[in-house]
Amino acid sequence: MRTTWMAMALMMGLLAVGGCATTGSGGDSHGGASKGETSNALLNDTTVVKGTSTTMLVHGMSCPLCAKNVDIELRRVKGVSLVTADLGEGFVYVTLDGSAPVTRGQLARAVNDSGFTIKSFQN
Amino acid sequence: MDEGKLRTEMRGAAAMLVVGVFALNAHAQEAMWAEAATQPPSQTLRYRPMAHYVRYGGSPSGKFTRAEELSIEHEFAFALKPDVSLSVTVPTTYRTTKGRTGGDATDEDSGIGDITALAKIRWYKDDTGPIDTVRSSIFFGAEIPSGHEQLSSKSVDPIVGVATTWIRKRWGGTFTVGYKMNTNQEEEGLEPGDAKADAFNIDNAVMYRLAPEKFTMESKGAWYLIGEVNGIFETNADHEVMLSPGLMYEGWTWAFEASIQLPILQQVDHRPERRFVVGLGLRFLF
Repeated sequence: MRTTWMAMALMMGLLAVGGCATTGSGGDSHGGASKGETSNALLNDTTVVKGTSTTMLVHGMSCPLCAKNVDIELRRVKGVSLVTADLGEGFVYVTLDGSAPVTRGQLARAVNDSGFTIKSFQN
Repeated sequence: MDEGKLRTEMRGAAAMLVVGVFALNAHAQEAMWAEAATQPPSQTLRYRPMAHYVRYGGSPSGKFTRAEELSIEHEFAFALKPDVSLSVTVPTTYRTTKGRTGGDATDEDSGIGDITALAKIRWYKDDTGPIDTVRSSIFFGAEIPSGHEQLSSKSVDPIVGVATTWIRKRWGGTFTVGYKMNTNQEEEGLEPGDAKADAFNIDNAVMYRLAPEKFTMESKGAWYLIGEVNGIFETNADHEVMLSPGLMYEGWTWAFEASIQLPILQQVDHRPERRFVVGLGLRFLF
């Protein structure tokens, strides 16, 4: 039994080390909300995207499959024809086909539904 | 080589091939063995097969002398909302048990094992940079008996836990604490938490992106080195800590991973020791 508790203590120690690695990270700052969540202002933005493309700054896309998730959600928005992502900088480039008007709020909600955080529109 | 040995070797090779084709546990930057705080996009159904090959030692009570198991778990996960998902995991299992019916005879069992139904709620998310994130989810549900005579624990076992996943530049990790309350009254089980004791899981995984050093528009995928320490502590004082090194490649629509679990601390008196566990993964995202 003593060995069990020693092993559990070891595991909890490892957890503590892992936990410390996550605190105070701060991360790269690109402005916007202080907490890493999509703001309501962006989610409810009714501004129609002008032209045939727009660029968003998205946080939390840590891997190629994460970008694919964003792609899946954005392509569900009627009027979106192409999505590409630059994971290193966090930019998501959206191309529109003009079949329907697309608002910034629609795009922001799509990114939010994919599990990531939109910080701003770049144009 | 005699015919019996040849058949055994061929079954082993076939099992490994099946693992190679179907084993899938990688999701995004998830570790292979630890439950992660990740889920599918909202209103999206994801099918994810996962496979494990496990070699067990002998039963402590002498019920058998050795067992092998290949289990392919079919996980169906659906996200109701961005932060809430449900999953059902149905394992199809092939198990060989040596010495159960006396002598050197090997018994074979195949069928559906216990089904796991879980709800996962992400209660914390902090995306602090283009790549950096910290997420935490609670999960709860139960392991439901399939009714199979040999492959089921024959009890409804509630499960609850917390999983936290973090990514910071090239590093990432997951730490998970889970508890499985066992309502079974059997003195001995095969898997951890199958006997009447409850099981407490502590998993800690660290991942490092080997390449690319920095993602660009031209990046086609990423290689990750994974190291996990997986601990299982049961209320009957059985405990086991496994070291699990692994490697994962993740492309834009698919991922491949390989991992092996080796015991570094093992004190089990109510179930057989797990000699090693192998997992190979390949997953496609449509």
